[in-house]
Formats: sequence, C-alpha cells, structure tokens
Amino acid sequence: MSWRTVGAKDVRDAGRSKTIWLVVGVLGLIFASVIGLDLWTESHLFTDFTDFVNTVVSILGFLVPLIALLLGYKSILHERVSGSLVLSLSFPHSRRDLVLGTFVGRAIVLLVPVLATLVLVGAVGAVLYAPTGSELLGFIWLVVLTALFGLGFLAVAIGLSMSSANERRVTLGAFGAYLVLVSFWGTLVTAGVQFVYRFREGALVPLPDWAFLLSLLQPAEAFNRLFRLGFDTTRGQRYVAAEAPWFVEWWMALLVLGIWIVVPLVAGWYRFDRADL
Amino acid sequence: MRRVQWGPIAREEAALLLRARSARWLFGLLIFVCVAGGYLYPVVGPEPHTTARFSSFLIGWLTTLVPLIGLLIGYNAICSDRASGSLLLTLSMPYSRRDLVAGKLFGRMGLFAATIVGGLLAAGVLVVYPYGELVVSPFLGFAALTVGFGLLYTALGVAISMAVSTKQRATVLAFGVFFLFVLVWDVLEMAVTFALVRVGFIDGELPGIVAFLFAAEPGSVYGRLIAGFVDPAGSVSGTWYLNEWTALVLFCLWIVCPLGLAFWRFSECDL
Repeated sequence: MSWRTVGAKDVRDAGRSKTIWLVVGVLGLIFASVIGLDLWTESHLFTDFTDFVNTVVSILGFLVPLIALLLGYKSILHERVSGSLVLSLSFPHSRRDLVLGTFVGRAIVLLVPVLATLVLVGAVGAVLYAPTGSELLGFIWLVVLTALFGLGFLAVAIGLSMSSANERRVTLGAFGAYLVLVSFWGTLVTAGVQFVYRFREGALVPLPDWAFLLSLLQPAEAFNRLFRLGFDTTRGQRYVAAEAPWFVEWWMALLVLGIWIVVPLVAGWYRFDRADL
Repeated sequence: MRRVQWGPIAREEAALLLRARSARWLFGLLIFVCVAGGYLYPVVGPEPHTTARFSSFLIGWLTTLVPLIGLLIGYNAICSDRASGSLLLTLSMPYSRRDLVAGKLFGRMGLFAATIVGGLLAAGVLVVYPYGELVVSPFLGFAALTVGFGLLYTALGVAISMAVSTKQRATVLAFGVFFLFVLVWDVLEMAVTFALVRVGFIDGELPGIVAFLFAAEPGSVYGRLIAGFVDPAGSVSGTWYLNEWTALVLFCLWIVCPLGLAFWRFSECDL
C-alpha cells in the first residue's frame, strides 16, 4: 500500500496550481465583500446568524463544485496523456494506489483551504451576529456537510478523469457535470415529470413521490435536506412538507451524498482498471 | 431419439443479425413505435385507458411494421447461404437440414420476440403510469399474440427463403407478399366489392366464401384475435367462419403450413 506516497506527491503537485488558489481566493473575497459591504453600508442584510449562514451556503453551493471539478478533472488524465502515469506505475505502485492516493491528495488540497475559509467566515459571523448554542452546533455540522459535498464533486471529477484518455471529452464531461448537477437538475426533473404526465396541467402540484426522490438526488438538494438538521431555514423545506413521501428523510440525503462519492469513483475505476495505458 | 442440435446455429444467427445495421434499425424502429404508442395513447386514445384497450390503439402500426421486419429478417435466412455455398459447409457438419432451418428460424425469431416483448413492456409502463390501469392477462395475451404474429411472418420469410434458390427471387417474393398482404389487400377487397355491386351480383355484402378468403389474410386474422380475445371494446363478426376461434385456427395454419410446405420442398431438393 503505497498510496500515501502518491497522495503526498499529489498534494504538492496540485497545491502548486495557480487556478485553484485563484478560485479559493475568489471564495474568500466573496465572503469578505459580503460581510464588508454589510458592515460598511450598515444595511443589516442579515437579521441573525441563521440568515448569515444561509447566504454563506448559497455561495458555497456554486463555488465548491467548481473548485472540486477544476481540481479533479485532469488529475489522472494529465498524467495519462503526458505519460508520467506509465512511469509511476513502473514503481511499485498499483493502479489502485495511484487512484486512492490521487483522491486523498486532492481531497486534502480541496478541503483544507475551503474548510479553513468557512471556519474563518463562521468565526467572523459568530462575532457579528451572536449565534445561539444550537446554531453553533449547526455550524459544525455545516462544516462536515461541506466536506461531504465537496468530496462528492471531487469523486465525479476524478471518476471522469479516469474514464477516458480523450482530453476534450473529459473537459466537456466536467463542464456538463457542473451544468447538470449544479444548474439544471431541478429543471430536468420538472421537465421529466411534465413529459411523463403528458404536459397536462396540474401534474406538478402535488409532485409525484418519485419526483421528490429524483430532486433529492441532486447533491445540492441532499445538502439542503441535511442542512435543515442544523438550522431552521427554508432550504429543503419541500422535503418536510405534508405531501412529501417518507423516503426523503435525512438518512436518504446522507445516502445520496454517499452515493455521489462512491459511484463515480467505482464507475471511473471500472474503465480505468481495464484501460490500456 | 436424436439430440436436438439447433442451439449453436440459433446463437450464431442471433449474433449475425445483431451485427447487421439494418436489423438494428428495424428493431429500434419497432421499439420506438411501441414506446411512442404507449406515450401518445393516454393523450389521444379514448377513455378508459387500460392495457387491454391499448392493443387496439397499437395494432394499426404493428400490422404494418411486424410483417415488414419478419419478412426482412426471414427471407435472407437460407437462400443467401445457399447461393454462397456456406449452406453445404454447415450441412457437412453433423447438422440435419431440419436443425439448420430450426436454428435459423429460432435464432432470428428469438431476437425479434425479445424486441417485441421489450417494446411492449416499456409501452405498458407508459400506459399504466400515470393515467392508465393495468389489466394483466389481456396484456400478456396481446404480447403473446404479437410475438406469434412476428413468428408467423418470420416463418413466412424463412419459407420463401427455403422455397427458392436465389436471393433475387426471394427478395421479389418477400416484397410481393408484403405488398399484397399489407399494402393493397384492403384496397383489393374494396375493389372486388365495388365491382360485384356494380355488375349487380351482390348488394353490399360479399358472398361468404369470398369474405372468408379476404379475412384469412394474416394481419386481418391477428386483428380479429385481438378484437376477440384481448380488447374488451372490440367486436368480431358472429358468423362462424369470421369469428375469433376460426381466426385462431387460421393463425396456427399460417405459422405451420407455409413453413411445412417449403421445408418439404427444401428437404427434397438438390443443393
């Protein structure tokens, strides 16, 4: 098991990438400007800590997937195209070590700066907006959730990276994954329901049970559902409404995030393990 | 009793058929038609929407498409091998002519039947959810009859393929059968009725024996079976030679007789 070596090298390699630091910088900058603007203009955008965390979560919701996908989509592919993968494999690393090391290494590069920024922002927010005890516990839960959420997108990226030696295809795949998983998922589910219900009126109210499950399959929605456990917010409200089926509980959301971490990696591994390098 | 040996030939045939692009397109078209029918049925079909009444909705498309596919996958089965000489090679292995024909027929038919069942299953799901009602046994009957209808035309195609010695003749015959039975049969019936009425021989109704002959066409037999056994809203004529039980006998005869006659000819002939 030499994945530690690979992982350590990967942390050093990926840590040198300027794009990643740029995007993480943008993340910090956005948080700083939101808080700064609120203080400077004295507009009191946020009534309480929960309100503030809600805004933080919206920003995380589109930036964390972006960082994770950018960080991961070339991880295996670049080494494969440049030939250094074959060289690495001539050392006593198995393919499994390589993939595991890459995943762990990139996860460290992803999570350390993102979570550090998040904790910093949370500390500033705690000073400004006076959280209650349960809100503080909720924030710790949010940090864990953000880690799971980021790992899910990192798994998608690394899975894509393993799946093909075609750079254009993997790039398009990462781009498409972002669009589908972050932007269009809800629209697609709605369109699917309307298609099955033959575009008749009233198909969307109430939504059929399976559509609740389909929308919960989106990583951000699973995240929202779990986020409700820590904070009393409007996020994921539809899953606790009276017409929601029993199977969109928090455990299903946790299962969904788990699936997003495991399945892309397994699917990518399935192709990578059989590929002729 | 000799061991049945057509298994390897059937597998080989199915694999060959799957490799042919035209066959894949035809099967895809069939599945598409089934799924599109299942999707459109609750929109344009009459109430109530059940899987039993769905059969009458789909039958117009199936009576055109299934004969086309059956004949196209059947007519080429034997004669092209015969023309190229590979038939002799196959028969030099320990296969009888009967094994050969059974393998060819069942190999091609198996794939066709799987396509029909898959397409109808998908269509059934679309019919049942969200507006329709599942009525199991008529729908199973519908699937079985449609597979039988596919078998009928595949058998007809294989029979044509056995009866002639060149691919050209088989092509002409297969398209002739398709043209006659599927495309012009109704027109022909109307023309005959019209002519007989005009000369004053009859007033509106065809005489029994002619009506029976026109109703003995496979597609019409299949339609009467669906109307009689599957669709609760369907109705068939009360006359004994036009009812669904006679249709069932005719259906079986259509499967067995052309194949039997052609096989008899094929088994006697010098390759």
